Amino acid sequence: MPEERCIVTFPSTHFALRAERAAKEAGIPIRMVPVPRRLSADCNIGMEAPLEQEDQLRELLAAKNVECDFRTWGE
Amino acid sequence: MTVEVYLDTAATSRQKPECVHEAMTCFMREVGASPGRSAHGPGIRASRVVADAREKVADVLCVSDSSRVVFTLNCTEALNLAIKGVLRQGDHVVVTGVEHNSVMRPLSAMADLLDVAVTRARADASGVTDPDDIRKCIRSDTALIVMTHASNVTGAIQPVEDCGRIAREHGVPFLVDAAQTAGCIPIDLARLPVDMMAFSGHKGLMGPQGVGGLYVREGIDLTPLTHGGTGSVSAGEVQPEMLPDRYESGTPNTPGLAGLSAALDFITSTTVEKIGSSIRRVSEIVLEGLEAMDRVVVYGPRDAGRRVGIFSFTIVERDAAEAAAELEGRFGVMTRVGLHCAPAAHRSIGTFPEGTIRASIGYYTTEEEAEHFLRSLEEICHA
Repeated sequence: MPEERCIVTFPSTHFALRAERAAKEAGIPIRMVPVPRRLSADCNIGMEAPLEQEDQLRELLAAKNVECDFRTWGE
Repeated sequence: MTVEVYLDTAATSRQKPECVHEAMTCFMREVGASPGRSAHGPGIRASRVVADAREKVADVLCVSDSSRVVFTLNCTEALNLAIKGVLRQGDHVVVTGVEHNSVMRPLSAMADLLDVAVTRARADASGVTDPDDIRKCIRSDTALIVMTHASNVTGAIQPVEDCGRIAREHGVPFLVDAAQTAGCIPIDLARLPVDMMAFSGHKGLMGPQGVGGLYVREGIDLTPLTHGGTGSVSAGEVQPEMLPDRYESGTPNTPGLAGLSAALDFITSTTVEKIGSSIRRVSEIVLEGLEAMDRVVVYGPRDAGRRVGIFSFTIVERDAAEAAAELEGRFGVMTRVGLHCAPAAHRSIGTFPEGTIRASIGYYTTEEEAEHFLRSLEEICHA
């Protein structure tokens, strides 16, 4: 069974790439992925992260003023 | 071997850091995709190139929110975006007497289209604006003040901080044209009372041609210059509100931004302070040499610390174009002759319509090159 992961969607590429930079600097193992169409119609580039690091990621992105939405993905 | 001394950095820095060439080639060969659109591997890499360049520009200019840095084709397009984006029917604008046509022509167009009125503050004989004159020009309907950071004709650094404070006291947006200063002198937008700053990516920032940008302070809303695809909010047929997408439609010059990004790495590791002091050192040699020549009239501030590396001069009883052609033909020294797209500045210093010979230096200009230029000019003067 594939592990559950969270996917972060963004209103624009600018925010997606700022989030990527922040997460990498914080050492959170993220991956930039295509966003499933049913999750968001905005920026096509999303970020996938382990579910257990969702809270840390939320805090980090809020602190960096990155506009985003969190979804759970993979079941 | 033929000597080549390039003294036209105010037009564009001809020599770029090696990493600029490498980054552009790497992008063209290995990435090549469009940024901000597709989520395939090269698409994400291309997006990263643009995002990195934006972060680095924000860092160099001390902008905390990089989304307020918008990329354009060049500084001229950035100035057009700012000027046309702010002005409404019948607005009044204050400018200095040394603005480039990249400011004056959009304003003339707005005067025709929207009855915009323009008042010019005076510049003194060395091409420096008095902040008090800016203050006197402000009216109740003034909607914008535009000032170059340093004149592209005389190199004179303008009192941007004082004028910005005056603009703020009157609640008027303040636009600065940093074409000749970004990358050459430290700029701290966290501290400076500047609402918009247009910059060139290919002059002092040493990136390739075809990149520039505009910083837009939060709270300033501009009508976009272009509307179109941004890769975001694609369901809507109206332009997105958020920055930078609001002002960046269509595929950008990503190879150029890859080059700019590499140039910014070079600038950050060298430091703007060190680049500035290197330019200053060569400037002092040029200025002193020009002033010592009795047949040469040099314009602009006498103190090299009050100008960027730009030197306009005339030779008594010599045609400027002929002298410049001789400088290149006999000595390999490349300068620029004429009005430098800034007739207003030449009117201010009294060199309109003949213009001047302009020698402009950058980080890569050496003391030896400056001395070669001075020796060559001396010979021409006494020919």
